[in-house]
Amino acid sequence: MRLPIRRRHFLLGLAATGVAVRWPRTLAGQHESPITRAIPSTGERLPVIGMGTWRTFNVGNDPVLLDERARVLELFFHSGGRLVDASPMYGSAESVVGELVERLDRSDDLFAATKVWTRDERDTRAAVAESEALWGVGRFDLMQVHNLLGWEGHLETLQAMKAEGRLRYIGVTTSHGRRHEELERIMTREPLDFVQLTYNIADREAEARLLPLAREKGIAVIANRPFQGGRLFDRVRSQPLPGWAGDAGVSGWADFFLRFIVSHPAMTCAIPATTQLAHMRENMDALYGQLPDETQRQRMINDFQEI
Amino acid sequence: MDYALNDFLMFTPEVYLRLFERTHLALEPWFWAVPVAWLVMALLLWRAPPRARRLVPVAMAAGWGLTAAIFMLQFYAPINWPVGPFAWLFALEALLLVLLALRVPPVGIGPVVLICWVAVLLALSLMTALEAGTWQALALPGVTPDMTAVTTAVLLMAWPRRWRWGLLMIPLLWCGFSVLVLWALKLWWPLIVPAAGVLIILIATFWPTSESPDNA
Repeated sequence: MRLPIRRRHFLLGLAATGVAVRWPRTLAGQHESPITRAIPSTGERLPVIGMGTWRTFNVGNDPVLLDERARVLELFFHSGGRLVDASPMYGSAESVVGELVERLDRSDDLFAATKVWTRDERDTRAAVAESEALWGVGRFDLMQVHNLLGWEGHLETLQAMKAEGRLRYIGVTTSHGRRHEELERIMTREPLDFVQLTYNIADREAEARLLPLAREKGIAVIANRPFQGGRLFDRVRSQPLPGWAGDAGVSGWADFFLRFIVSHPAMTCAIPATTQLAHMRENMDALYGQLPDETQRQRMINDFQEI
Repeated sequence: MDYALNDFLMFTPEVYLRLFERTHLALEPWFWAVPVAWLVMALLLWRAPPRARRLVPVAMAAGWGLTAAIFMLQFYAPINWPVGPFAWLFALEALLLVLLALRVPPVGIGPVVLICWVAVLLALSLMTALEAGTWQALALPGVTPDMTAVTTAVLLMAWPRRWRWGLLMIPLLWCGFSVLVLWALKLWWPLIVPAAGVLIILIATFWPTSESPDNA
């Protein structure tokens, strides 16, 4: 049996159960606007914190876990988030997101981003149609070629679909720092709206060539693995935040790591993934307040490297 | 930046442990009939004549089929795509066990050996419950894949060695796969089950053929 959760029910539930003991700053200061970045190809602005679904939203048809993820997703939207990123590779994540967005009545707030993940370069349109059915969307905001798999054929079709008005933006993805040289060639040659790559305070290879190139070519950048799959937290476990960071409004390590990423001038959005309401609150803290300047970014790197 | 084993997994430990609870709930109120069936099988191996002992591989086949249909296809495959093809291998193992039942019955087993194996299997059944912190996550043979594979390997020692080998292939493949998954998930208690499974399968492969005078 599935219990439908609508926004008002969710908020009433939070109030009743006392879950909202510590709202993210987003909710505490409604007057404050979320930090946004423009998508260079159109100027449309996106909140700098999005949501990934790798591992976290692959819950299959488990009704208990679907309800838990619904709460996490509602908090994301309520905190000002918009971009949700998934992939057919992530098991049931696409269908779970589709079901929960409909359940929460949040389709107007959603910036739907997913990927084509198939070796068959003639299968692009069928793959997009399958994802549309799973998400329950008529048109994706962003369709990316997953890990450059069959990118030449897929990208050609995605460009045609964009020209037909079937997609709003197109892009390609990599992760774990793989195939950066090939990505650079694609960014140089192809008309892309977005690239997605791994960038975090420990994995900064993209700073050398890809991020400057993205700025030069007017390509939006999504940072995946912002916490290095959780390993950054293992490294700072039991370590206090640097004193200056607290004074600068950084609320915790998640906030610290995310502010570092999205303060890079080429960066459009980071996509942390979580199953926990508390972690979502911490992530969404980075959507408000001040971003570190270049001096502070360097200080973040130094402090992190000393741990 | 390098891939770690858990970078290839698309779900969390929480989701994996919930599979056991959901299987338990899906089988209510018949869940407890499963351990009773296994006790009956132990009694058959101890006391029953060869003709009646043929029920043991038939019951094992039913367990492989049930595991494939509910735990694997209904719950596990939607979050972990290799499990879908494995479910068909489980169905194949069920078929092979039925064929085995038609060809040759198991030898009888003495009470001391039986009690030892029941104790080992009982302990292994508790591992997921221990990890999940709930009895609902109990992993029973004939319902959940690791325990089905391990228990089958134990029972196959009641057949001549030449009949065992073909039937140990799928349990070995599954246990190897499950070790990798649980290692990546860092679920150390449940990992004991397929790891023990690999060990028991290796023992079963080379265990000498038991001969019973009533086995003709």
